[in-house]
Amino acid sequence: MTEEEEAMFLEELGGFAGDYLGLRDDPEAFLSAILENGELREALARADTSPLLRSWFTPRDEGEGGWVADSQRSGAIGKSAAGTEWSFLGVHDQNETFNGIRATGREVEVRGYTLMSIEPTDEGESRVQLRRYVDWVGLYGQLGLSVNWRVPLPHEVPDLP
Amino acid sequence: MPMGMPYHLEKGPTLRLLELYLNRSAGEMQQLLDKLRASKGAAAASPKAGLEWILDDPPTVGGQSWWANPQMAARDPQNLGGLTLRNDLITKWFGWTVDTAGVWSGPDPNKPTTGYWIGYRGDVEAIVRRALTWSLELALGLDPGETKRGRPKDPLTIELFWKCPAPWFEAWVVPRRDLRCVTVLLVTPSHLGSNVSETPLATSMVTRPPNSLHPVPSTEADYEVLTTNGSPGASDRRQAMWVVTHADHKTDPNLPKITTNTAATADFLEWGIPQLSIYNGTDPVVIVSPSAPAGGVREDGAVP
Repeated sequence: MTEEEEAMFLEELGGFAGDYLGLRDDPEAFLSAILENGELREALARADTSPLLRSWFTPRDEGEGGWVADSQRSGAIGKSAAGTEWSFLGVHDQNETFNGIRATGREVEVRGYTLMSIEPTDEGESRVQLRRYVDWVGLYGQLGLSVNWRVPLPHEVPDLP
Repeated sequence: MPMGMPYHLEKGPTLRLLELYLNRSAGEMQQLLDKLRASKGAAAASPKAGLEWILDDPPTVGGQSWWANPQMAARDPQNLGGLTLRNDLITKWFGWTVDTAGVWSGPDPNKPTTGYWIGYRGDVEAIVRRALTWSLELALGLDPGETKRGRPKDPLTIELFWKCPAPWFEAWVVPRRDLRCVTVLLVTPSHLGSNVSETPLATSMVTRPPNSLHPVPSTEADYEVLTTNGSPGASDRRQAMWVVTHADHKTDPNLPKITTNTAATADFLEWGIPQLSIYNGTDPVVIVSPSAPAGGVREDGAVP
C-alpha cells in the first residue's frame, strides 16, 4: 500500500493502529491477536473495506459510516483463519467512481465476508493476507446492472458427455 | 426459431421467412396490416383473436396457411417448416402456450420471465405486433390507423434484423424512403442456449455439427470472407451481412486479479471492483458475411 493509503488505513483503524504496526511483521503473533481479539479483527476488516466503499457510495446513517459487522457470525475459522461478516449501507450518488457509471441515486447494501489468514504473498513472504467474499452480483443487481447471458465459446466440437 | 445464434446480429432462416411473409403485393400487405391492426394480443377476448395476425394468414394463398405452404417452408438443417418456426416464434418469443387441441393461451401471469428470454418479462407479442404494424404502414405510405387504400403500387421493402443481447426487448423501425426500405431491428435479451462464437470465422461445414452443443459459424451458403483484391464480385452481392471484427476474442489471463476475483489473497486495501470478463480482440480484423443457417443471408435472399 502507498504511504497515502497507509495513512488512511491507520486513521481508519483508530485506537487499533498501534496493534497493527506492532504486529504486521510478525504474522504468527498477528494472527493470534486476530483470533483472540474480536474488536481488533473487526477494526481491521472495517479499515480494509470501508474506505473503498465510501469512495463509491455515500454512507447512510446506520453503523459507523454505513459499515456494520455481525459479531455473531464472525470469529475463528478452522485453526488458522478468522472471518468477519460485514455489510455497508450506502447511496450511489457519486458520479463515475464505481466502474465509471453515473450516479443512480439508488440505495445499496453491500454484503461481504473478510477472511484473514497467513498466506504467501506474491513476493514469497508469509504474511497475514485477506480474502473478501463480496456479494458483487447482489450489488450489481441493486444498481440495475444486468448480466450478459451470452457466453462466448470457441467453436471446437466438444466430445459427447 | 433458432435455439441459439452464433453471432450478435442475425437474420437467418426465421427472419428471412418473416420478411417473405411481410413483403408481398400492396394489396396483400394491406390485408396483413388489417389483420395486425385488428389483433389485440393478450388483451383480446379470446386467445385466437389475440394472435390472428400470425395464426390466420391473409387469404392470399387460398385456404392454405401461408406458413404451411411447402414453397415457403424453411429447409434449415433441422428441417423445420414454416408452421414450426411460426409456433416457435409464438411460444419462445411471445411466451404463449398451445394445448394438445391447438388452443393458444397467453403468457402465464405467474411466470417471472417471458418465453425463453433470460432475465426479462414483457409483452413481446405486442412489441412485435406494433412494430410490424408500423413498418407495414410505413411501407404502404399510411399514417398510424389511416385506412386510405390502394397506395402505393410499389410499397417499400421491409427488412428485419435481430440484435442480441440487450437488457430488454425492443424493436426499432427505421424508414428510409430514399432507399425504398423500412428496417426493423429486433433488439432482444439473451435467451436459453444463446452462446455466441468467439470468432466470426467458420471452421465447420454446418451450423449444427454432430456433437456440438451450440450453433457455430459455418461455411454453408453464402458464407464469405472478404479479402483485399481477392474477393471479386463481393460488391455485386444482392444480399449480405458483413461483420467487421477481430478474428478471435479471448479473456486476458494476465489481468490484475482484483478485476476478476476479490476472493484471491491480497494485502490490506488491495482489492477493487471485479469487472467480470474482459475480452481482448485478438488476431487481425476480418470482414465476414455469415452463412444463412448461421444467421446471415443468402446472396439471392432465398430461404435458407
